[in-house]
Amino acid sequence: MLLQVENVYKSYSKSCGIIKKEKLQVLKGVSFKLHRSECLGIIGESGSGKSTLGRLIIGVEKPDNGNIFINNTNINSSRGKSIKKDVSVVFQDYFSSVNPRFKIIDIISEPIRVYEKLSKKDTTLKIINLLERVGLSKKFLSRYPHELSGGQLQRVCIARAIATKPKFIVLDEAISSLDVSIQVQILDLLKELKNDIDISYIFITHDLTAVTYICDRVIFFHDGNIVEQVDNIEDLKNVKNDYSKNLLQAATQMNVREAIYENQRVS
Amino acid sequence: MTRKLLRNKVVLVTTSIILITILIGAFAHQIAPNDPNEASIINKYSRSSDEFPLGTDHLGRCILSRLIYGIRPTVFLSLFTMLCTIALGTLIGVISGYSIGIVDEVIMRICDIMLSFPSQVMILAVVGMLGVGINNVIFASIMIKWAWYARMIRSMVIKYNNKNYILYSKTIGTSRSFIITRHMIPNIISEVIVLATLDMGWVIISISTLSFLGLGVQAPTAEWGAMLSEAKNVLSTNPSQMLAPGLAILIIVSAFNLLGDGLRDVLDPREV
Repeated sequence: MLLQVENVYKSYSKSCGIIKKEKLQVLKGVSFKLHRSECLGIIGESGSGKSTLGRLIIGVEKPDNGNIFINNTNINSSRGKSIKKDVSVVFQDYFSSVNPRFKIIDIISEPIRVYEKLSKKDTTLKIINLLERVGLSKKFLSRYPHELSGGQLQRVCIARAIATKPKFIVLDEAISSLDVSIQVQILDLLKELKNDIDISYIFITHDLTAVTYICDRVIFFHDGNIVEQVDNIEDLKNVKNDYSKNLLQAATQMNVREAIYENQRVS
Repeated sequence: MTRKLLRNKVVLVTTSIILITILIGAFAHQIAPNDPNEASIINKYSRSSDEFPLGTDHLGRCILSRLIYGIRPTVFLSLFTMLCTIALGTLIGVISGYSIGIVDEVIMRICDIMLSFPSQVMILAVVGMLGVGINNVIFASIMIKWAWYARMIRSMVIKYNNKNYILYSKTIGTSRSFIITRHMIPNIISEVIVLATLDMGWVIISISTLSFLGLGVQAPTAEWGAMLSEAKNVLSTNPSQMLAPGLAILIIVSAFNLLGDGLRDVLDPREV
């Protein structure tokens, strides 16, 4: 089992006034599993807690209750440090994902520096290799983030994410702020990487189309709970839960409308 | 960045004024025409001449030389004060920003206390308690200023701690020292430098004021505030004595203030 999330609770305290504090329960007992080399989609509306779940999985925040295991090691235990190598993350906002003062070469060398003691030359070679993997040439090495387009920068983020050879990557709305043609390119890149280097994804999104494009399994997330789990992407039409049905219907309607607009525009 | 700094005329002019001042201060020995402390009563209040380009004061000392030697306590001690303030503020701010909870709460309440005193009164109180002398003035200035920086840096640490690139670094287990030295500090410094430059003017005025009141640099050391203080005694008979030190303070303080404004224009990320 690559990743196992067991009955995880998380709440944030919201202060009202000076002393009174209100608890805001974000995750209410979430459990699921992720197997090797599969892509798990987590879909839900804004504020449903799916991004919080992502932050718990990458270990930057601790759950109030429950455990998260990666390769059967609890990530919040003292031995949890060693499995940090197996996790990586790509965020939605690519501009804040990279330090604006770093060149691309510095950005990608950060994870390499942490896990491998390579000479400067080897590091550069490895970075060029990684950049080529994600479809960028080595002329980007000495550029700054603001000199790249959104799609290129997100590719850099993906290159950085695979630099440590992680077992799985959390993609937190990783394609949501890109335009559609770039989205498809990035999804294709992710698919290709998955086949090549045997990697798993947790694909957190609100975009059903992207989920059907890349994911093997889907979890519907609503109000801090998993409301439905679809183990076969082909069965996506047969969801039973009301919330998932609504979500699915909304997406289908939007696609139909889009098609109509498209027809009108062309004719 | 450098090119942008050079293109900004205000920054260029003020930086050169400050750099030239600092250089003159550093090589005061070679540049000053006379010994700043050599009194000759015969020559007192003399007009500008080849020997004394700006004339002499009430003890017949060369005003220009005193002005040049005065750069050392005025500008250098202010720089020193500022550096100590920033160092202390950064240290406490970083500790506070990282340790959310009781430690943070305690440090912030201490900051609130420090910030609630009017600064000049506080300095006078500290100097009054510890005694007269430039060391105590510097100590007092640091003591009341650090809280401003600690508070600002704390909020920046919290802000940057939630930036995605630092979240990424934490995810893959980058060492904390790398995160602080490579991600945090460069970002924080560029924001702090603006405030620090603006505050330099304040510190110069503060040290000069206290020297003027006789609490800071002691005679016969040349210091602009102290020179003003000596000149004020003869304000009615020889008003021109005030001009040189007064203008010197005016120019250097305005230079620092304008540099701060200019830097803010250049470094403001919203303009990038």
